[in-house]
Amino acid sequence: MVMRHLLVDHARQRRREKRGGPAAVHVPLEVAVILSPEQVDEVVAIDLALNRLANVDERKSKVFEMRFFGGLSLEETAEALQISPTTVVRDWRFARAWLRRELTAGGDGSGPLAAD
Amino acid sequence: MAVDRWQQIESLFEHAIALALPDREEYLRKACADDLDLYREVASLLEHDDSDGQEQSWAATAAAQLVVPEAHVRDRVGRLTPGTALGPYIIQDVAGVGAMGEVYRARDARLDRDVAIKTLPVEFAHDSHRRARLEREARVLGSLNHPRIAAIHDLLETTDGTYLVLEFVPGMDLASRLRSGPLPLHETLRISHDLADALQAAHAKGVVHSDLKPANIKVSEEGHAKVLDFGVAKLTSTGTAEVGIDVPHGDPSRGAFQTLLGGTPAYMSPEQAAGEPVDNRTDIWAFGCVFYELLTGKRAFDVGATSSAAMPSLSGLPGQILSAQPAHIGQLNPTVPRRVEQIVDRCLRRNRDDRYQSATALLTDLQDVEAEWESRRSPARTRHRVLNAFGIAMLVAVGSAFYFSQPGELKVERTRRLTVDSELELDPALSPDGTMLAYAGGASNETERTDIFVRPLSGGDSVNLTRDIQGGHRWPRWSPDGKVIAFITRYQVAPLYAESVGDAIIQVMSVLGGAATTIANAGVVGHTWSPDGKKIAYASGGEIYVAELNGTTRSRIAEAYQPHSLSWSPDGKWIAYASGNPEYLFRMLGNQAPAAVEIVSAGGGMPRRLTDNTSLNMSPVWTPDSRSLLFVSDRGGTRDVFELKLSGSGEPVGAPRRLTTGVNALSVELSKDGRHLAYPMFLSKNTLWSIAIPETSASAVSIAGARPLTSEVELIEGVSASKDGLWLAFDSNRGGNQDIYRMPRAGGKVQQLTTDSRDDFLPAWSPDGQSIAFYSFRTGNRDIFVMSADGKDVQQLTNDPAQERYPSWSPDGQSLIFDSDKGGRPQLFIVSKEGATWGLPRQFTTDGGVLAKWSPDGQYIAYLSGGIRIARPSGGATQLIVARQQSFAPEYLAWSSDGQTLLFKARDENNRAGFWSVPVHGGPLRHLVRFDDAAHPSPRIEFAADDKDLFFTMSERDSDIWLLDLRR
Repeated sequence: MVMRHLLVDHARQRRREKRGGPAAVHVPLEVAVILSPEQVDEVVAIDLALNRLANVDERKSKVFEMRFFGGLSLEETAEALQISPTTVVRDWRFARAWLRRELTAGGDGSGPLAAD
Repeated sequence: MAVDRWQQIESLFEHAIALALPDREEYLRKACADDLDLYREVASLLEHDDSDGQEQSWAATAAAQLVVPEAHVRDRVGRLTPGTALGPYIIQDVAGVGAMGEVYRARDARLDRDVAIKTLPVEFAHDSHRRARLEREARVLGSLNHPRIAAIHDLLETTDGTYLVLEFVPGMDLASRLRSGPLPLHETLRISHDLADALQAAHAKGVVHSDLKPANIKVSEEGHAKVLDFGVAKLTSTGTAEVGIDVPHGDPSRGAFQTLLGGTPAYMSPEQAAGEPVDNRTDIWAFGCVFYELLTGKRAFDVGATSSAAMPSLSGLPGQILSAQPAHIGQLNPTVPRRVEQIVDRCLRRNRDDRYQSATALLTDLQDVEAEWESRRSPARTRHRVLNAFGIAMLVAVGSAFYFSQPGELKVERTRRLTVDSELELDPALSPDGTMLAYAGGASNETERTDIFVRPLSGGDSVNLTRDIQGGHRWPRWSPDGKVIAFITRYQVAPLYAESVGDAIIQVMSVLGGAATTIANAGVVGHTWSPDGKKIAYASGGEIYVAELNGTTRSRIAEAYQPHSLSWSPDGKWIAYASGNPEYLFRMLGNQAPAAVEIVSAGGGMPRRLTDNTSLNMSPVWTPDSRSLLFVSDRGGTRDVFELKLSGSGEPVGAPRRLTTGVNALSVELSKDGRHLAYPMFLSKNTLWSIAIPETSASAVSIAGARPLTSEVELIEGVSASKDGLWLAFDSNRGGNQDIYRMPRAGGKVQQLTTDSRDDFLPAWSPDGQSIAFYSFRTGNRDIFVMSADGKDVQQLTNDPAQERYPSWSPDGQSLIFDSDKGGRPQLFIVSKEGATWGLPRQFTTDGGVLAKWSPDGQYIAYLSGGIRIARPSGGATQLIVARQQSFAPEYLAWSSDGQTLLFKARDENNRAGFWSVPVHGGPLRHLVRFDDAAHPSPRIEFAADDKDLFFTMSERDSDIWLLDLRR
């Protein structure tokens, strides 16, 4: 999902910047508008958590990705993934709970980001 | 984690959340038995479930902030199960799930009707400010009260939360409907009309939808649309810019991020994507997206999931909205009329100042299209053929001028012929006192040079008012006091095409005769008196002027597209006129190119179009009450008289109503009391002939040696001979509307190649004989097309609102040169093949140029611009071979097969035509053929040549003045 990649890439760039990376980084304007410096870490954290969810339940992670990153409606998500809207409702609720737990349990919210 | 374990967790979670809070723990403990890990796993998940009504504390992690906005906005207070009572409403089931939460279907027990109930974010319960605002806005929404907008019935505030009670709209929503592809045009038009209607009503009350999309539009069985969630987005905004309405307060970046999530990507306007405040034009953008999708079955901006089985992707969403271009509607659905495409384009302008500024303006254009669509769908466009020698046609006119109509409506009572002779009589005008008739007449079939005549209406001799005045005179118009006549004088024959309208002035003369005074002297193509007789309005070029009679002042009051045939309303408020096809008026052709009736305020302003511009609509005249226009239209087949009623503010009321059948009127003029309608019944045919090109040494031959190639009563305009000498192609209206036909050169069966209900003209054989290029009105304006020689595989080559005509092939068959009036003045453009498709046209001339023909060896392009010019295909300086003069005007050309000579048709100041030749590289002109048969003039310019013969058209015309008595 490009939106997600955009955000995550952007977030990663910004983190690199913080540590003194290359001076001029090309950032798509629209993404720059969206994320505040504070949210940079969070986006990366969500991304990682979502990857972990995908390992156990790909469908739920996709539902979350489309709803959260893509802003798709329940019908649109259902159609895209070829599942019923009620399944989407259930997956969405479960995924939210799961991710929240992951994020809060993670402590300071910044997981290991070795691969930059 | 093992799959079964995961499924266990899932299942336990689901069951638990369906239970009331206190019951969950007990359930879990039982279900997990002694599996403590499982219990902890599910319990912790439940702890983080956001639907249990408890406010979680999220301050702990910033990460949660990204997730929390969703939760804050979408928090629900308990899930409503069927049977739950919410005030007087009893929950039936979940009707759907919206962006903010579940939507329930409920029954209003008191009124015994279904309603839709939407849960609103829990924050409202705790914020009195927000609640007050919510109530205020709900009241505004409640007042919307429109058949196309789902109503808001109630706003419930309970301790558990706030609920919106809305009208329950059954039926399928547009998103589901669109899954099976685009809708038929009439359905699309109806739905779009409903939507624009809804927008207009809501915007008038200051309510903007801001989230208009197919999912929010329901369609009833009768095909009418209803918009859901009008204003609801704003209603539920949390104070941050959920959909960009309010200025974000608190954390601005959070607001901006929410903007992204709040709106629906594919229907989001550029301003929304950029996080700016929305306004009514935002809804117009969304309307454009929906309209686009209805027409093509595809999203204008496909930002969202595709239905591929693989993981769908979401490309850079705001970037896409801000910079992408939707695919041309015409390419996705060629049946969409040009006008409709233009409406969609105007909704989808990136800069909202360039869009329709109001739903009302949008609705007006939609209504235009609908009226046009209705008239196109009614009577099939079959032309009643003008039968042999025109005699029978006259009987037809007499019999059917009586037309059934409703009481109180205008109807024709009686009809009689006023002039009978072999000459052409045109432009009848009745004096204000009703006793005299003025007209333009005395022209032979050939010269088109008429004089102004006046005679008593009841009969008697005609007096030639302009016998001693130079030039050709037309369009006599009586002054309101009946003492003076204003008419148009032309000193040279009006060119048929592309050159300026030329020298035409308005002269005013006393009815008793005497000298004439000039009023205006610049290319006049129509004039009308003001009701007080002090001014004359006239059209020249693309402008309408008003000139004072006593004085030299004139002022421009409007700009319009090719205005002519003016008429000033008796109440002085409006000037009506025809727009388009001015050649019809000054060349006595009866040609069929389209024109529309428009009006403009007499004080100046923006013209308003009243009819379609796909059929011929001409010669509007006002009824005495200034509330109706009578005009000539061929929308039903023949040129007949129609009535269009208008409101006091100049808006059409209903569709034009037919008054006559088969009268073949060229124009109409009404008496002052509105009881008599005079018109010239104009009948003509223009048929195909050939003549051998004279030998080099011979002098000019007479046209008497020409042979007819067709015998139908028809109007032919263009002809083309295939290079192999086997075929002729031509356009003709013999089948009802103008279509392309072909027939063997040696004679034989004529085969129809195009069948589109719109007119096609000017076929041109490709050098290899496999294709035919032509221009057509099928997109709504003239565009260039190419088809295979059997009429199949039609390809559209140009796609713009300008008029493209006269395509001509390069010898290698890879390019076409054609005329376009894109920049205003007609220029030549070239379009070339790129592999299997055609590329974009590129401009060839900059100083004007039309009617080009490529030399057989490909070295030169000859065309008309102030005479005959030669240019190199690569561009550069041009050479004038034959200059255009008043007494000798070349008007069309063709190359000889050996490429050494240019053959051309030219006309003298008396409108007499002739065929000529000139060597390309220098040498004297040769007169080839003289058109010296007065009974068979050749008013059109087009011809074709092969190595032996010339192919061209000749005309027979008759025009007499008739009078209709009208009554209410």
